[in-house]
Amino acid sequence: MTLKQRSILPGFGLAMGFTLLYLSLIVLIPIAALFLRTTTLSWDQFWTTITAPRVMASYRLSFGTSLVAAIINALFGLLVTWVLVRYSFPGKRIVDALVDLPFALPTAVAGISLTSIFAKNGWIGQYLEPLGIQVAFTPLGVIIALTFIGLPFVVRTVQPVLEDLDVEIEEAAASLGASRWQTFTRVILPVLFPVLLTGFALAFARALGEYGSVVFISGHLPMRTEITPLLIITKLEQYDYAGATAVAVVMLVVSFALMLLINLVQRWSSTRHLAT
Amino acid sequence: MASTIALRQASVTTVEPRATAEPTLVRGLLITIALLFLGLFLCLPLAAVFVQAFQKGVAAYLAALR
Repeated sequence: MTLKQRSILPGFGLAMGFTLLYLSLIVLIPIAALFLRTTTLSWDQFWTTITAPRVMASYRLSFGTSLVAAIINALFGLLVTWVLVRYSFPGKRIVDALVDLPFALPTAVAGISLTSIFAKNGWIGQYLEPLGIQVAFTPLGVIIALTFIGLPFVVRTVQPVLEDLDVEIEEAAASLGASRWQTFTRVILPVLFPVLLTGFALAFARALGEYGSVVFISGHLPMRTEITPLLIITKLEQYDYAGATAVAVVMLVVSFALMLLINLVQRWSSTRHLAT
Repeated sequence: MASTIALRQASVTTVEPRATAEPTLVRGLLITIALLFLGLFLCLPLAAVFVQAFQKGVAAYLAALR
């Protein structure tokens, strides 16, 4: 009697087929079209387009500011989450709700309001101006705009994990003689690290693609405060579709590589935590 | 014997810092830093939006919505 070999997952074929179809329609086909469009350029044209000084400057600004903003968000996001989960203070609920607002506010509105605050006669700008610190229309302004839009990602990814963390393991650590700081760095942080990395990656990815809030505060000076998405729009406005997609492809490939790297680090850190 | 019991009771009543909480000073400091960060990066831009919207009065705001 032979039994038919069956997968232990019921309906695997159907589910897999649907997943691939859905992913193709929403993600893969548009990206494929992007790559297809760049093939209208010759290799030489492609290379000169993506390595033009103005384009290179925009990569540096985009990846640099996004990275700094994501790091600020990871550090302060962790702090904000910790305070929101562990401590109680008046107005905590309101602060918790406020964290989501960068998601809801149109990014262009955020950009305009940040520019007005940090401009020379703005609320904060007028005090920074005598100190020689310019925020609006400099990379610093770009970092601030990107920090604003990325904050909810870190807080909302870390929050549920910190809420579910058993106090018992902290008690165990304390009863074994660990100081509070040791408990935090050796027990709590290893559990939070993978999810903190997820929040960091999300904030970073969001910052890389951000356009609306940055346009106003950066003042798009070529070579100095021009982010890559803005350069792509500039190329599109000049009907240079192939050039725009070429730059977009570079952005996409580098972003994908970075995300893959972050995922690998995350997997490594979570398995390491389970093993010890 | 009686003195040791009295000692034990005394040690029970002294307030030990909780093992799974931070000192009040650290807690206050963390809350302050978190709120300052949120105030600077979150509340201030939002406040600026409202101030600009109502700068010319509620009538001008309502007229713009129409």
